[in-house]
Amino acid sequence: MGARPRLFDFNQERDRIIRDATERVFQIHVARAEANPSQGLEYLLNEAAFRELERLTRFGPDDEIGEVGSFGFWRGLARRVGSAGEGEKRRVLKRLVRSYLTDIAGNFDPRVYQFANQVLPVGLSLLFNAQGGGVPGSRFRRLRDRIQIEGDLDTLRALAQRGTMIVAPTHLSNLDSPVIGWALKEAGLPPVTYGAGKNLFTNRLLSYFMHNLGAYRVDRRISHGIYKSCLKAYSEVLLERGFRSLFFPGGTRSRSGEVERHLKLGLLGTGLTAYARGLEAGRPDKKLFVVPMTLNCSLVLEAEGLINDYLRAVGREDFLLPNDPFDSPAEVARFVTKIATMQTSMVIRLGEPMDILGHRVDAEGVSYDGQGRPVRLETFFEGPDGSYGLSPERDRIYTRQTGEALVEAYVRETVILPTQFLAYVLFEAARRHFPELDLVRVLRFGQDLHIPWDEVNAEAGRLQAILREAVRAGRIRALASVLEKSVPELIDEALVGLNVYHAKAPVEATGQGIRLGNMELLCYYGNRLRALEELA
Amino acid sequence: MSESSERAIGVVGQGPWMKMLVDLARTHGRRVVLWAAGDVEADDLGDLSGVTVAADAELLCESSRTILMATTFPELPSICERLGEHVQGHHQVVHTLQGMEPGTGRFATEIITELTCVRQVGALVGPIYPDMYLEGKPCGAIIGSEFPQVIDHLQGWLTSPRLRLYGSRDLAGVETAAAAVRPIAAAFGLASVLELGPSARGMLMARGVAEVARLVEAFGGNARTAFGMAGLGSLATQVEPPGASAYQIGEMLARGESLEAIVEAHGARARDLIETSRQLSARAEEDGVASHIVGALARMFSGELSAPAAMRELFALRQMME
Repeated sequence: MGARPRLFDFNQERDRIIRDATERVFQIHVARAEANPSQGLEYLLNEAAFRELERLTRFGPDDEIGEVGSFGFWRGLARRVGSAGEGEKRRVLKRLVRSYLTDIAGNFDPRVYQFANQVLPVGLSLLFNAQGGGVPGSRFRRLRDRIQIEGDLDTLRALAQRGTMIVAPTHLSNLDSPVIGWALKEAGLPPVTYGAGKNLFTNRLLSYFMHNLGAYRVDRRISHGIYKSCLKAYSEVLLERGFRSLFFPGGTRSRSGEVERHLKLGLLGTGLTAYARGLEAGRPDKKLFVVPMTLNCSLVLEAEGLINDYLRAVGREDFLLPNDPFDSPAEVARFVTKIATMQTSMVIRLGEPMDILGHRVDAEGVSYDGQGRPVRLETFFEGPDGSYGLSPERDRIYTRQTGEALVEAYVRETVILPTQFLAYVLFEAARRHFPELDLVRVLRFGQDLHIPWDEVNAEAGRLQAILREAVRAGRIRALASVLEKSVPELIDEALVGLNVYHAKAPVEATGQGIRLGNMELLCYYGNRLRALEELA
Repeated sequence: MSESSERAIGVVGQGPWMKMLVDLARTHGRRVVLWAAGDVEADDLGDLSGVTVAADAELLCESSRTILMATTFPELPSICERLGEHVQGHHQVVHTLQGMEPGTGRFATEIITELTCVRQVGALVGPIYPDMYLEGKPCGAIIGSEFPQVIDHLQGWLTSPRLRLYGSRDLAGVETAAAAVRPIAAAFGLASVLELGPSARGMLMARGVAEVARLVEAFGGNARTAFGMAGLGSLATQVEPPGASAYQIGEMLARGESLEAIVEAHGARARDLIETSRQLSARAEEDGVASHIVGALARMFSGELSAPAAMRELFALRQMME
């Protein structure tokens, strides 16, 4: 891995990071209040008090944060903020910001990291090979067989030494973060810090590892402006100080199973801000690189809950799913044990790295435009007077463009697996049987529909040909077995995979064809190929 | 004097647009660097006093950060490829084209951003005719760009006592509206030959702009942009007799003249209008957007529909709420 990972220095710098971020958030809000007195600190603090009282009423006192987070504090603030002087408002703002940032800030213990690196592969190996035999050493190899890590790893390793890396994966499951941690180690890449939903810290064991491995806490139930700017500032300061980070730009697990297309750009924008601030400080060499990563899973632990959540409330995001199987260690173990029977459980694909504006970069860190010509990244941040710096309007457009480049990379780097392939074939067959019905009715009436083998084989063959062409053109990827196996072999592999874990089987093979079972799951897994439709 | 105020404005191309832009820049005492980007006689370039003529794109890009493109669609890709060798992220490139690229249906800013690394792009369009400006008539135009810096620079550098320059952050809307009013203007030419009268003209104006607004939304813009300088403003000038090229093409269509004759008479403008009508109509169909006038024009260009049949079809549409 080369030099000592930057994250190993985190604890020595933690207080300084909190102090810098606190000062930044404080200054931003004071400057805004001075520039626009009608939206001054009173407005900001009032909004925070209103939303915090609402949250504490809903979730109870367990949700209090630090010294300033009690119900009484917020009620008192709401009552007196109108008559408070500017000095008092500023003192309250600073206290609040410091308190939030102390709660957000993570921790990194190298001893826990070394320990985790020893136990995580063993744990995963044992689980992934529960049905296999052999000596413990062989289990490590088997794990690597089951979880494939792909990409130009040499370039990524070189870049990791040249600048600050931002890993930007797609998001399917709460298992993603530990698996990515393992994959980065396997790939010879340094560890990263990342924001994890506070709900994940409720599991004591998991919380211990996450808290000591650089994860910082993100409470998605806090929705006011001060907290959001704390999160952004924390991420900016980390990146400016060279701490490699991981963001899930989709914001949350993909509910529909589709590859993310609508990204939340807030954290991605912190990378751009960090680079621009480096330029302001006369450090054009402090580069940041974004590494798109796709997580491609044959089966997803939370698939049923996620797709039902999507179907129940399209457009609304509930971050805490009822009866989330991730909350049950036994269910997680059952899931991992079951998918161990599959030939390939997961493909983690690290895409072509890009700079903070979405340009392709090479191993030397040189950026290239769409025509393959080198570009000087710093020139994009140059103002009319030749100086470098931040420009909120311009940088917002740049961030959106980087997000667009990331979405394109996600499609290009998505790896289609047999289960997704067959789910798509069968769900589309159901749609053809009910051409007049909308999605919800297809889900209802498609159950128990029998698709004859002739139709399954013909449609699978047709899709395989389309997929081969798309893969040849570099527009998407697919597992070799999807492209190379005969259609019957591919369907056999996918049938086994689809039915291996879920309580209500998605499909049932009969002598005459395939009977559709759990339509929601077919919809969920098949949705991975929706990106292909747009390419066609 | 700051670096930016010393820097020249770059102009690429030939013809009236180039002459107008050079004149405007000179009005403000700006240094102008001109790259003709093609074979041209010095006499055809007009009065170049105080203008530095660049032999190539490299000199242009070194001298100026803001580049105004006075080119046609067919020239644009090759010029962008040559510019692409020398521009960097600090360059701003603004074009003056109202339409879509024949063959691909791309807007000019899409071509510029695809073939160069430039992000800060814009479109200078609207009810503006360089010939009129050079004759001393007052004009108005709009600069569409997502980047406020581009709008600020252009407004500061080109506004003159005879040119009012408005700004819009809705680049997609500005480019779509500027393209979509051309088929509508052609429909006005058609109505004129068919002697449909003032009521039909009023209806064409109102419903034509409503159609442009729907197309603007389909391309990701803001419908209101259709009622501004790039949409309504531009359309009003194009349909004023003798009318712009689109209007005259509509007249030829109504007289039953062949596509070949139209292309021969109007060259690249005719090809651009035909392609724009087709592309907009196809996109409207794809998005389920009602595009009756542009759709009828596209079908007339492809020979599926005659002018009288098109008018009958438009009048036979089901009654609807406004």
